[in-house]
Amino acid sequence: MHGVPELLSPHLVSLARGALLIGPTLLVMILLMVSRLTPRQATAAMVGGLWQLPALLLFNVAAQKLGWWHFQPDPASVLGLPVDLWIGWALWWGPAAVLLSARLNIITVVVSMMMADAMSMPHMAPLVVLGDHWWIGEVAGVLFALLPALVVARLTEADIKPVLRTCFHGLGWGGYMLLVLPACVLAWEGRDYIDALRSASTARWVISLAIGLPCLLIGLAAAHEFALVGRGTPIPYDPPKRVVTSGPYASIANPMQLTSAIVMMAIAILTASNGAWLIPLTFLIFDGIFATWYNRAHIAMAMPDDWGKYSSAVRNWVPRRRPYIARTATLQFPDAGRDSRILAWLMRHMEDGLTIEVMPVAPSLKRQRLIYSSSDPDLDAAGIAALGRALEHLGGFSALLGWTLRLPGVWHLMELVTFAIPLRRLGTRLKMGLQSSR
Amino acid sequence: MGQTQSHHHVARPDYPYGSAPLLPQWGGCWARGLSLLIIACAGYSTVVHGADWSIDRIALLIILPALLGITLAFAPDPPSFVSRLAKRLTTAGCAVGTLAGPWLAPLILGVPILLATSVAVGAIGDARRA
Repeated sequence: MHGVPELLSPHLVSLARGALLIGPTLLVMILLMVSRLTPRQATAAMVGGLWQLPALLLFNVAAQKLGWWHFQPDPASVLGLPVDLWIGWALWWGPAAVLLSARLNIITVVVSMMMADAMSMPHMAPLVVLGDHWWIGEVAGVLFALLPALVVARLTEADIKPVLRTCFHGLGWGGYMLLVLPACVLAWEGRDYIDALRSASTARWVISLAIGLPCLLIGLAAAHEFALVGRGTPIPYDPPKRVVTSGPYASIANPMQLTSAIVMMAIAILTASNGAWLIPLTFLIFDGIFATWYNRAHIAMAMPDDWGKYSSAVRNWVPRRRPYIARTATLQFPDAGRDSRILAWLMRHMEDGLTIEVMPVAPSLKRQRLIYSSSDPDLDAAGIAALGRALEHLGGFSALLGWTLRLPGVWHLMELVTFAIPLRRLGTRLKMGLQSSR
Repeated sequence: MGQTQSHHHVARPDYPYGSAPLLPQWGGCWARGLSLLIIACAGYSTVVHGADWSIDRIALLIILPALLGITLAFAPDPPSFVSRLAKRLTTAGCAVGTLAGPWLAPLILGVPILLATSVAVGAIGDARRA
């Protein structure tokens, strides 16, 4: 452990904790008052703060395990992190950092915050007791929590890269559902979340994973659809700029809300916590009443025609048996020989709204792709994404597979696989290409 | 490549809240009244608990909800009645929060009920006007 030159008295520890909470709170209040923020800038600051709570909690669990530091035991703490320090730190590295970085150079802000930690933390014992390699933890914290918050805030303010922003929100919201909310509720019950996970029976794990994992997948697919088609995010202050009717939204109007509530039910089952059942209940009250009104008041007024058609066809909480396809589309197969099995399967299961065309092409070295062309150009896609879009027309498990294929990461991996596998035919193709050129 | 995007924006670029700066409403009657309520509740709570609670506990359970409530009170009012009511009820909830002590955490779970109440009151108002 790091040398502890002098210990703070209990009174000074209490004073320091109060200051580390109220100081950042007052700073954020003052910056909000003097900054004349636009709604988008305020949303960016909020997004930075929302990122910090799960990031800092997860990071501190790791910091304690790796011996970087630990905090003084306190009844008002979650997984060993005192609540007041957690909130103060989230405000300091969240809205305060974002608002300061609008006035100062971003590097100045990051370096200043690291220096503030470096100068203060060694003198905070016994509030925080540092390990020998605590500075590694400090750098890791900046990389894992502070910098991502600043990046996502900048992207939000500029309203660019909605898919990347949504990846941040997906990770962040996953952090709230799987870590912050259950850990807080269990801490309130006097239990430790990680201990509860360790002691859960196999049966509880199996049930929870069977319920929770598909819901997480559907929720991610819905958020991705918001970003890709709507060029917005699930955050109500940074919403899609059009009515999104594709992906999971073709089956149900509230996929993220419903799947979030079900994931929280799975967590309640897993942890055997009575308090944890309150979380899905509050989700459903919020989403069923306020969010429904919000949609009516905002989306319906901004985009009345599209919203009217969509809301009359797709229900909020009950999935449709067949997906709502408000478009016609053509799937073009440029190389029916290579993809003949997929083509045959799709032609057997072809649904309304999807036409399949086989495009005979001359042998070529150029990579040949599936093309999905839609009457709604926002849904146009190529390659694996085109196959994913086509599968959406079929509904059910096929649609789920289609959404999964189009998810960032999965899509990249599948594109790599489908690029690499045909390489073994490169020699044949080279020969064919040479013959055709003669 | 692969997932192509077009640029058909249906909503206006600054949807949903416009681009006018968010300025504190220092002169707002509701903002001042609610802020006074919060200060009164926080002051009362400090008097009651000041002798027993440590400084950090007062900061977490009294001063923090009070500061959040005052910030929310002076934030610009949203245009719709339901949103305004939701904002004022949440601000009043912060005043109650300063008195809640250790029940502050479960009280946060009750915020959706406040929001739902504002929708219900708005619906009753709409029905009466109709």
